[in-house]
Amino acid sequence: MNSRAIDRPPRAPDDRDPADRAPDDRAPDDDAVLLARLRAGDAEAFAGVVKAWSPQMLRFARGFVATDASAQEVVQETWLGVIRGLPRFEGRSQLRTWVYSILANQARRRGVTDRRTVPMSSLAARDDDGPVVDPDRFLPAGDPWAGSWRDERAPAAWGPEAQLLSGEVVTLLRQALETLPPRQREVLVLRDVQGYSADEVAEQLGLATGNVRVLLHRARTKVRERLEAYHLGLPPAAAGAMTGGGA
Amino acid sequence: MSGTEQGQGVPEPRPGDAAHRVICQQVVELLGDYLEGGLDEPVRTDVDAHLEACPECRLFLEQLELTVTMIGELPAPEELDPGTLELLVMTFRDVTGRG
Repeated sequence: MNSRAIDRPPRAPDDRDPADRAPDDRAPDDDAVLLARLRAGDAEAFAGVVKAWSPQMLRFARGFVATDASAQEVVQETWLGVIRGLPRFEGRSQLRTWVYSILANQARRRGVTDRRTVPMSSLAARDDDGPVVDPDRFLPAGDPWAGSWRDERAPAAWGPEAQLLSGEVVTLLRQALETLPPRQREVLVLRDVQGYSADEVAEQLGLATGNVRVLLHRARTKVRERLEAYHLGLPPAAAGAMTGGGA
Repeated sequence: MSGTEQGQGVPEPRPGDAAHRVICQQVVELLGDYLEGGLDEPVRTDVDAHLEACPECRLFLEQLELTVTMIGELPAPEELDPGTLELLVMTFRDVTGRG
């Protein structure tokens, strides 16, 4: 199961480096010290403040934008803006105020863009209908090997790097989750992200356990398909994303 | 067979040994229940036999399991994605010319 930020024990009060303290914990001269270090090109100080501040910034951004992936991009763009703007920042306001003003701008703009984008879930396949794998990937009735994988569309090895949860794969997985039909996404998140049993998921969602398993399998195979397309360098349609009757 | 409904036009399994009692196109549907422990005998044994004999379906199952594992390892939304911190520090170093 994930270790979530809100589950971790609260920070002890401390004499840590100012760079490592959250914005609200620091006294005004800490701010001046931190700013001086950043201007001097102290990469450790920079890494420290990125690590300390980003969780709160992500939560903030998430309030404006449509997806976790968008929030990640907003925060990344904010820090890039901070890097670029440091030479010009005179320190008359608190560092935090300045960083958050950049963040708010980025988050607002991205929120507008996100709202203009067609909600992906409306384009997703139907929830619980049709085969989980495109029938075209198998040999048709009448063939001596009817129902077996076609050679050219059979599962292929993804390579050892597929074991690695890279930044790209994280983004891809988040997007894949976002584009699932809502019921499938709920079931997948409860079961595979948060670790509830199928029975517990069924109870929480008011479904039969069998129905949960169907939804879960549909969701997992769809996400597997996105990973397959990524690792084999295919466009998703070629990997067989168009299952059943969905778009 | 317990578990999911078959898609339309799915051919009947051929008679013969257990590995052929279920075919790939059916196996991929059954793997959901297989993974969740919801497959009754004798279907479960048939699926096991098929998986032993069929490298493609075995691969499909491994990839499905890997997918589940990775979904479980996704960073919490309050954490920066892997690689972002490194990218930012690198940029910081480039731009400030020191570090």
